[in-house]
Amino acid sequence: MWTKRWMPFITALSTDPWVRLAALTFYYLAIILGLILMYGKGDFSTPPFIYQGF
Amino acid sequence: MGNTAQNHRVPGAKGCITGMKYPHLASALLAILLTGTSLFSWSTYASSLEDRYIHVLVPTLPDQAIGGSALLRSAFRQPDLLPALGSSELLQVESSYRAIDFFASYPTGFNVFVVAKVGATPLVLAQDLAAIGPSLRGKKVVISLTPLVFYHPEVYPEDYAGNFSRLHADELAFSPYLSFDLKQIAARRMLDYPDTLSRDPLLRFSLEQLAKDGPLSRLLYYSVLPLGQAQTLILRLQDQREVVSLIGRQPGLDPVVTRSPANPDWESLATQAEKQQAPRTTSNPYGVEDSIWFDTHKAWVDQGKAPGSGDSDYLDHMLRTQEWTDLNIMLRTLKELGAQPLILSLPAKGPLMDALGVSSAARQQFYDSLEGTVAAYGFPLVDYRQFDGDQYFLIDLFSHVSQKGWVYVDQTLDAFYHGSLH
Repeated sequence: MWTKRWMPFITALSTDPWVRLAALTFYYLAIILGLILMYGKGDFSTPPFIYQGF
Repeated sequence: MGNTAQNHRVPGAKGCITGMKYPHLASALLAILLTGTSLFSWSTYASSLEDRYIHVLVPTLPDQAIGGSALLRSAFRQPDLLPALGSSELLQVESSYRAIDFFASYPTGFNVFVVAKVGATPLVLAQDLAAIGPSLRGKKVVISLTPLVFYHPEVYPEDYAGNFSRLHADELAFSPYLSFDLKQIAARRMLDYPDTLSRDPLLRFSLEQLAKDGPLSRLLYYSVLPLGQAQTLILRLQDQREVVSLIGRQPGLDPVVTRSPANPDWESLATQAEKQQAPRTTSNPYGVEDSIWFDTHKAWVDQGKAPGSGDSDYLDHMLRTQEWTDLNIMLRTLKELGAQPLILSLPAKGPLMDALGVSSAARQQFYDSLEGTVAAYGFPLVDYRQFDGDQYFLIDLFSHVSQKGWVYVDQTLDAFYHGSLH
C-alpha cells in the first residue's frame, strides 16, 4: 500500500537532477561522516618507559 | 520506467549545471567541499576555544601539549605566555620557586608554558618545534637542555619512543617551511628509531626517501608529500578534537586567571631559597638531596674514583655523542622557522662530578662545545657554568634544579621575556 502510494512521487523525484544531486551528496557526506566517526579520534599516547639516562 | 539510461539523461544546459553528466563526481566533490568548509569552521572555533582557555590550562601541564601541538600553538599566540620546552629539569622539585609555580600569578606580567617530559632530547624538541611551523616566526621560546644527555652515545630507543609524537614527526617530515637538507638530516636520525615509525608507513616511506640521496628518492618524496600533508592535517584536527574534549570535560572551567603583580627581589629570594635548600642535604657534602643521596648517589661516590680518572670516558662519550647532531637539527629548525629562542643549559654538579672522577677541565670542554655550537646560530645561551661548583644549585647529578637554582632560572626567564637579558 505504502509503496503504491508513494512510488510515483519517489520516481518523479529521482528523475529530478537536483534531487539526485542532493541525494548523492548526502550519501557521500554520510560516508565521510562515518569515516570521521571511525577515525576522528587520534591516538596521542606514547609507550610508557622508565628513563634510562640515569 | 523503460530505458534506465534514458531516464538518467538530462538534456541541455541543465545537465551541465547539475553535473548530471557525472552525477557521482559532482556529488562527491560537493560533499568534499562541504566537509572541508565544515572542518575549517570547526577548526577555527576550536582555536578560539584554545585561546580562551589556554591560560587556565597552563598550570595543569596537560599531556596533550606533549603529544599534540594545538595548545602550544595557542600559547605562542598569547603575548603573556612564554613557552619553554625541555625535559624533566623543567618539572622537578616542587617548590614555590619552580618556574611553573613562581610565574603562575603573572607577578611580572607573564607566565611560563612548560612543555616537558622526562627524557626529551634535542631530536624530540626539533620535532616539537617543527610542529609549530610558521607560528614560531619572531616568537620567543625557551629551550632547556641538560648536560646529562650529552654523556651518552645517543638517546635510548625507549626514551625516544616515550617522547615520540606521530603528529610532530609528520609535521617535520612533510613541512613546507623547512629546507630539504634539514629534513634529510633529521630523517636519517629519526630512522635510527624504527619502532616509532611502525604505525605510520607513509611517514616511514617518506623518511626513507628523504634519507637517501638521489633524484629518484627525491621524486618519490615529493610525490607522496601532498598525501603526507593531508595526513598531517588530519592529525592536527584530531589533536584539536582532543583539546576541545579536554576543555569539555571540565564544565566549570573559568578562563580567568588570578594575576598578582609583584617586583621580585632576586638576591634576597636566592638567599632565602638557599637557606631552605641546605637542611635537605645534610647527609653529604655535595648538596645532593638526602633521599636521592641514599637511593643512588652514595653508592656511586663510595666507589672511590681517583680525581680525573673518569675524564677519558667522559670526553669520549661527550665529544662523540649523536646529541650534537640532534642539537644542530634543533637549532637549524629554530633558525629556519625564524624563532627567537633562548637556549638554557643547566650546569653539571661540579663537586659531585669531581668525586666521580670527572675533572673541572673536562667539564669545561662540554661548556665550550655547547657555547660554540649555539653561537654558530647566533642564539643567546645561558649555561650557568658559574654554578658548576655551587653546592646548592642542583639537587642531583642529573641537573635537576634546587630551590636556589630555580630562583636564578626564574630571573633568567624574566629577563628574557622582558628583553633585558644580557
